[in-house]
Amino acid sequence: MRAERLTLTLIAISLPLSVLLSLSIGPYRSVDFPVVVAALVGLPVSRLSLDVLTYRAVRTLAAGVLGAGLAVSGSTLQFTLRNPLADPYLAGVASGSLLGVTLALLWGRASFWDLYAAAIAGGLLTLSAVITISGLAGGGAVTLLVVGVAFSYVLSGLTMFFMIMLGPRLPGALYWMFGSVAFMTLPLVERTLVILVPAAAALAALSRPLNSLLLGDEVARAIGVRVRLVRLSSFALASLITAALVSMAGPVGFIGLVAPWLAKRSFGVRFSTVLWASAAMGAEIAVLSDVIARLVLFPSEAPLTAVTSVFGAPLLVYILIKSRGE
Amino acid sequence: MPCIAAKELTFKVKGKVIVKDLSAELCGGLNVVLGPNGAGKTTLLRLFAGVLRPTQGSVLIDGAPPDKVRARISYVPAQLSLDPMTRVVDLAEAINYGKDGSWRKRLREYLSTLGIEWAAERRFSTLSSGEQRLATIAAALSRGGDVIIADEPTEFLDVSNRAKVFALFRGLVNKGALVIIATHDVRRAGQADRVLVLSRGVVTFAGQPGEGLVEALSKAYGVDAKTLLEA
Repeated sequence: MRAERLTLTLIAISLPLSVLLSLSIGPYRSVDFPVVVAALVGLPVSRLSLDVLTYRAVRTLAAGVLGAGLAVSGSTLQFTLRNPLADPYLAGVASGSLLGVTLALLWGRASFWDLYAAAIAGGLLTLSAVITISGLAGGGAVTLLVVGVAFSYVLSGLTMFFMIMLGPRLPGALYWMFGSVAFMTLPLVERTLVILVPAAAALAALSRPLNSLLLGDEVARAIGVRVRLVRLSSFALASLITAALVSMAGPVGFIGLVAPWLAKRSFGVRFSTVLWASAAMGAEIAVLSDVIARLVLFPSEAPLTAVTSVFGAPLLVYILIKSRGE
Repeated sequence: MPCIAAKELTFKVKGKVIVKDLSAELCGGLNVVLGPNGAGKTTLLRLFAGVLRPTQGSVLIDGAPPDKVRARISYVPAQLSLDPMTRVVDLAEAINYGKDGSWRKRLREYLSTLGIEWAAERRFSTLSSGEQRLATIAAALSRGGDVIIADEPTEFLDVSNRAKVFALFRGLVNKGALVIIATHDVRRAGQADRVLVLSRGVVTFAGQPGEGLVEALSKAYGVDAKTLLEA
């Protein structure tokens, strides 16, 4: 109980601090922490500062939404697959969505909803294929990971072929393919939230049956859980969320793995708690990673994925070792 | 007193017969299922608990199939592969799907009876094999059913904890529960009200422990059972 309260307190303090940090950092060095505070308390600030702050606020919001969504999607996959290594990126969902979006772009479709539909189709197809094939290969946590990563490579390879075919439209698509929140607009974030919030609420409603999947399918079914229905709907919801996030910001890895892991560490394996706790942690990780992305090559910036991968991949290995050792 | 009745029960998987045309009726009491590896003990218990569906025949608990009386069944599986971060209370909550919150109190009581009241908020990965077993039993019993089906409940347990678990089951029987245990702990048979010996999916002995049991066990295990019982 003490550990839980400590974690809650830590999140409650550090999340707002991360947001403040994110608002205070960027190439416009004149718009710094004192200006942010001045703007927040309602003191007059210059028009330029206000514009810069608005841009950073949208970007911060987008990073938060992205991180929270990836965490929710990752938690869902980890509970439904009973696999602590499941992650929307590693399970291939994000790569499938990415290929879908690239094909849609190639087709000359560029509206959010077109891209979104393509992302869902790609993500769902990939997830189904990965789960089926890893089942045929004997199942297990590591099998899923290997099959998912193999799929990601194949799909990323294909995506690269199709990207080149985009011709003059390539540079814009390329930056998006890196995974970044640098070019966010408020409508884009809003459209993502329209999908994310109801999907997360539906998942919260599925908390109890999702939780009971930890007993294994047969025992869960025996105590009355409608295993197939619960699993299919939660897969669909997780894919929906991932697809929306990929359409918004491109593929960003490891947050969906790390945030649920941290949440389970602090709060145990209880879906209703892990859902919101990992969302808060994911939001914070994404906001901080985006700050780092802006700082490492200052005044230029790195893609968000670059940062999350550098920190996330070693943690994946650590989790793998821990989950096997235990 | 709850009764489980198996009628001409057969279970096949991939064409292989695991339980063959088995009929038995167990009413109340402490029932122990014995038999060598692969005899079908776990499958029989899973059929009783409604975890598996029979290929042929039926299982009825007081006249109803297990999925109609699932609130009354507490099933202790032989093994669970859990996320290492799972706490005992998480497992109990998962087991109590569809139940009200009164399981929390029962969980504490059973943990305390088994001497690990400190374990409720602990992760499984931090417990020893024996403590994990005790915690799983407490979590399963927190469902509060009067039909208790436990697969290898005493595996990994030391002598004193085995005695605790049997005393706990005996106490539940005295309150009117039906307890069915599968075990390799042959010597426990003496404490049972009724023993079933399984061999290749068929019941070769059913009744109170006694002379016939020794013979059935000798046949089932292919060794002189007297040495097993006295060992």
